[in-house]
Amino acid sequence: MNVTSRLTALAVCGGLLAGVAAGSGRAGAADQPPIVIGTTISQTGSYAEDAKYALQGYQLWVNQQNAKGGLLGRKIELKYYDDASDPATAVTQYQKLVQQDKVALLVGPYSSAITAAVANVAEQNKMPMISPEVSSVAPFKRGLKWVFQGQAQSTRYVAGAIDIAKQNGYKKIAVTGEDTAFPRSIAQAIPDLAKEAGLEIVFNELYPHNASDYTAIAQKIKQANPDAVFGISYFPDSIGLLRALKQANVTPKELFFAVGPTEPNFGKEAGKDADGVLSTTNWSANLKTADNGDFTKAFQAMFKSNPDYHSAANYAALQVLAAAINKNKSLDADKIREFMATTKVPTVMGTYEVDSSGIQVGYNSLTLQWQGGSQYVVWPASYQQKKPQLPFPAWTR
Amino acid sequence: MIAKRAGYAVLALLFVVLLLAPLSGNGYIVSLCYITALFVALAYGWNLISGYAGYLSFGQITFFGIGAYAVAIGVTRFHLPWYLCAALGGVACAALAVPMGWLMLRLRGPFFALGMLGLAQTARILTNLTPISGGSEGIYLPPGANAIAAYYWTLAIMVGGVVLTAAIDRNAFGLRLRALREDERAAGTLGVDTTRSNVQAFVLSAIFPALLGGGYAWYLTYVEPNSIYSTEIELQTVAMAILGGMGTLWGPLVGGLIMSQVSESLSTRFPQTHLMIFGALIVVLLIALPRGIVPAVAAFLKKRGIA
Amino acid sequence: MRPELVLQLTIDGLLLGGVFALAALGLNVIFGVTRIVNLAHGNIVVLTALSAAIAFQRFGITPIEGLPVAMVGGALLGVIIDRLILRRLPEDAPTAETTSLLLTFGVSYFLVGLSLAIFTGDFRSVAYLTGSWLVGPLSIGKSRFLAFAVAIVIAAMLGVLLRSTKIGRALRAASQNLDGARACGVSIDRMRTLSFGLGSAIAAAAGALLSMIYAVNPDSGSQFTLIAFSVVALGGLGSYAGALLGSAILGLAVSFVGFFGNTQLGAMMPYVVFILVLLFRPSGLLGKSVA
Repeated sequence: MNVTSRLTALAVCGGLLAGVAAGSGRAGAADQPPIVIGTTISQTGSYAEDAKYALQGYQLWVNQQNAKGGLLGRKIELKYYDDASDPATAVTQYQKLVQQDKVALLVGPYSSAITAAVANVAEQNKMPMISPEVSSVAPFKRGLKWVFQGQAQSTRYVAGAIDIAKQNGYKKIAVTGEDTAFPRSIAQAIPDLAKEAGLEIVFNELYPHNASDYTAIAQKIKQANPDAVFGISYFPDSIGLLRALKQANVTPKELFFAVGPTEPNFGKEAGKDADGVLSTTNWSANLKTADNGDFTKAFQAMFKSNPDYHSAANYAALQVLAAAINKNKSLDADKIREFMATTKVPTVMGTYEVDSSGIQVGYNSLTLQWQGGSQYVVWPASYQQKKPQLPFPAWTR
Repeated sequence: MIAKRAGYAVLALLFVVLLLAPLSGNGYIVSLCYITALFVALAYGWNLISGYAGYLSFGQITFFGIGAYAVAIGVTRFHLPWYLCAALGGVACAALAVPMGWLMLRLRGPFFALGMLGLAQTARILTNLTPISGGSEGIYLPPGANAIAAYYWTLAIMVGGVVLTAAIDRNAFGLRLRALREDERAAGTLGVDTTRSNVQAFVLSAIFPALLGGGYAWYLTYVEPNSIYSTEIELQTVAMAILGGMGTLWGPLVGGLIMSQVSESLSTRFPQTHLMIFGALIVVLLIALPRGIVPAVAAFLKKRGIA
Repeated sequence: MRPELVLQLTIDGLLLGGVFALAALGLNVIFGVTRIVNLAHGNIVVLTALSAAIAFQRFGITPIEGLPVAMVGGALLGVIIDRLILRRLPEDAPTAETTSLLLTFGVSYFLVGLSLAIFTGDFRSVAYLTGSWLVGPLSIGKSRFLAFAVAIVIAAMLGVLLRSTKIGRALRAASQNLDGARACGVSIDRMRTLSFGLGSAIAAAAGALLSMIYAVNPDSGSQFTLIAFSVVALGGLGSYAGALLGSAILGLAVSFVGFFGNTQLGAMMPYVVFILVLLFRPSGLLGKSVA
C-alpha cells in the first residue's frame, strides 16, 4: 500500500464514521421524504452553453445543504428536465413538476424568454419562484406576484464600460449587438447612460440572431471612427465580431463585449486576441459576499472548473429560498413569498433585494478584463483585482 | 370491417378523452394535451400542401408566426378578444398565401422546400425590424388562465383538420391534387388547372398554422421572433407527418400521437442522446416503411383480409 | 463616396463569397450526380470545424495541417451515409426524391445529436490566422483569403477532374443521363458513392477552414446547409463556375446591403436573392434547364 491509497482509505473510513454520526444525530432526516425543488434547464438547443453553468449552481447548493443535514431536517432533491431552449416545452415541464411530481418548491429556468413563459405557471399555482437567469426587467412590468428577479438588471451591465470610457476621456462610442430580447434591453439603455456621462453615440445598429457575417458592421464601425466599441454580444457573435474588427483593422481605445467574454473559455476560443477585451460579470471570486470563498472552493472541488456568474446567481437563489424556509420554519408558500418580496438577504451575489414589482435592485455588475489569458475584475475600484489596461492594444498581425 | 369499426371506436374514445382532459384540473395534463393537439393539427395543415399536393415545405412556420403576432398585437395594442385576432390572423394568412403560393409554387422539389425555409428566415428578420411587433423585445400578454381556452381552440382546429382532410381525401379536389403529385405534366394535359389546384392547397395549408399560432401566443403569454419562428417546431411537425404517412387521412394523427409521446419520453430519459436516437429513428422508419406507419398498417390489414 | 471604401467592400464581399462557395461546392457535387439535396451537409461542416478546434487547442495542429485528415474523414462519413442509408431506398420509387430528402433530414438530426454527445453544446473556434494583410488603406483578412483561395482551387480541380479523367466523364454522364450512362457500362451505384465521398470531403475542408472565421456549436449546421443551398440554386445545379458566381453575388450583396442599408437586411440577402433569381430563372444563373 502506498501513501496515497492509505490516505484514501483513511479518508473513506473517516467519511463513513462521520456519516454514521450524522445519521444517528438526525434520525428524523431519513424517515421524512425529501423536499423536492423543481426547475428546467436548457441542456440542448441555443442556450445550452450558459445554462450548464446555471445548473451547476443549483446542484452545488443542494449537495452542500444535504451534507449539512438538509432543510427542516429533511433532505433536498433537485428535479430538473431539459427544456431544449424551447419555452413551450418548459411550460409543459413546469406543469409536470407542479402537478405530477408534486414538487414543494420551484426555481427559475435559464433565459428571459423561457422565464417569461413559465412565470404564468408559478402565478397560476401560487408558487413563489426566484428566477436567477432573467436580467431583462420587461417580464416584471406586467404585474407578477409570485416571481422575483434573481439576477442583476440588464441596464447595469454597461455601467462599468461607460464609467471607464468617461474616466479615460473616450468620447465617441459605437454600439452594436444581437437583436434579441436581452442584448436589446441593454443596448436601449446605453444612449441615456452615455448622455449622463457626457459621451456621444456615433454608431448604433444591431445585427440579427444567427447573422451570416460581421464584416459589414465592422466596416461601418470603422467609418464612424469611435474611441470605444460596445458590442452587446453572446459567445459566438463576440468571436465573430472580434475577428471581423481585427481583420478590418478597426482600432478602438476601448473594446467591450457584454457577456460573451464573461465565459471562462472565451480565452481558449479567441486566443491572444482576447487580451484587452472588457466584459461584464455579476459575480467574482474576490467579492466579499456571504460564503463566497466557500462557494468558489466547493464549486472547484465538485466540478473541477471555475464557476461563472450564472452559477453564482443560481446558487444565490437557493440561498434566499433556504433563508425564507429557515425563517418561517415551514414550506408555506405565502410566507415564503412574503419573505422574498420584503427581506434583504446576503448571498454570494451581494444583497438580495427586490422592489414592489419583483425587480432586483440589490445586485450589481462588475467589469472584467482579459489580461494575459485570464480574467480580472477591473471595475469598480473597490473590487479591483488589477488596473484596467488601456488603451486596447494594437492588433498583432 | 371489424378493423374499421374498432378504429372508429378508438377514435371516438380518444376524442372524448381529449375533450374532457381539462376537467381533471391538472395543468400538466392540459399542457401535454395542448402540445399533442398542436402538433397533430400542424401536421394536418402541412399534409395538405406536402402530402396531398406533393410540395415538401419547410416554411409553414411563417404563417404560424404571423398568426401568433396577430394575437399578440391585437390583444395588447387594440384590446380585441384574442380569438377574434386569431381568426383575423387566419384570414390575413389566407389572403397572403394566394400571391405567395402563386410565386413559390413555381419552384419544385428541394427548391420549394428550402425556398420556404428561406422565406421563414426572412419573415423572422422582418418581424425584428417592424416596430409594431415590439421587435426582438417581444410582446407580453396578460397572464391568466389562458391554457384551457388555447387548448380547446387548438383541439377544434385539429378536428377541423381531420374533417377537411377526410373530405379532400374523397372529393374531386383531392383526386386532382394526387394526380398532380404523381405527374404534374400529365395531369395538366388532362385538363387539370395545375396552378389553381396547387395554390388552393397552399392557401388551405397556410390557414392551419396561422390559427394555431394565434392560440400558441395566448398559451405562452409571450411572443418573441426567435421562439415563434421556430425551426424546431417546423421540423418536428414534418417528422411527425412523415412517420405517420404523408398524403394519408390518418397519418398526421398517428404520427403526431406517437411522436409527441416518444419525443417527450426520449428527452426526459436520455437528455444527452435523445436527438441522436430521434434521428436514427427517422432514418430506420423511413427505410423500413418508406410511406409511413399508416399505409404500412393498412397494407398489412388488407393482406390479412381484415380491412 | 471614396473609391477605396468601395474597393474594400468589394474585397470583403468577394472573400465572403469564397466562404459561401466553400460551403456550397460539396453540396453541388452530390446534387449534380444524385439529385439529392443533402440536408446533413452543414452538419458535416460543423462536425469538422469542432474537431479542428479540438485538434488545435489540445494538440496544436492547425486546420491547414489537419486538412488532409479532415478530408479523408469527411469522405468516409459521406461514403457511410450513402452505403448504409441512402442506397437502401428503392431507386425507382415514385416518392424517391422526397424520401431521400427526408432521409438526409434524419441523418442531420442524428449528426446534431452525435456532435452534442462528443463536443457538448459549447461554441468552439480556432484562433489561427485571425489577422489581415494591410495593403495601403485596404485590409485583407488572412483566414478569409485562404478560404477564398481554397474554394477556387477546389472548383478548378473539380472542373479538371470532370472534364479530363475517366472517372470524371463517368460522373458527368451519370449526372446528365442515368439510363444512358448505365447503358454505356457506368456503375451508377459507384458514381453515387463517389459523389457522396467527394462532396463530403469538400464539406470537411470547408469546416476546417471556417473554424478560423466563426465560432460554431452543434446547432450551427442548418445555417450552413441553407447558405450552401442558396448559392447552389442561384448559380445553377451541377455548374461549378455557377457556384462561384452565385457565391460572389451573395457575398457582395451581404457586404454592400449590410453597409449602405442595414445589417439585418444584409443578412436576409442570401434568401431573398435566391428566391428572386429562381422565380425568374428556375435553372439558376449558369445552370442547364432541369425539368
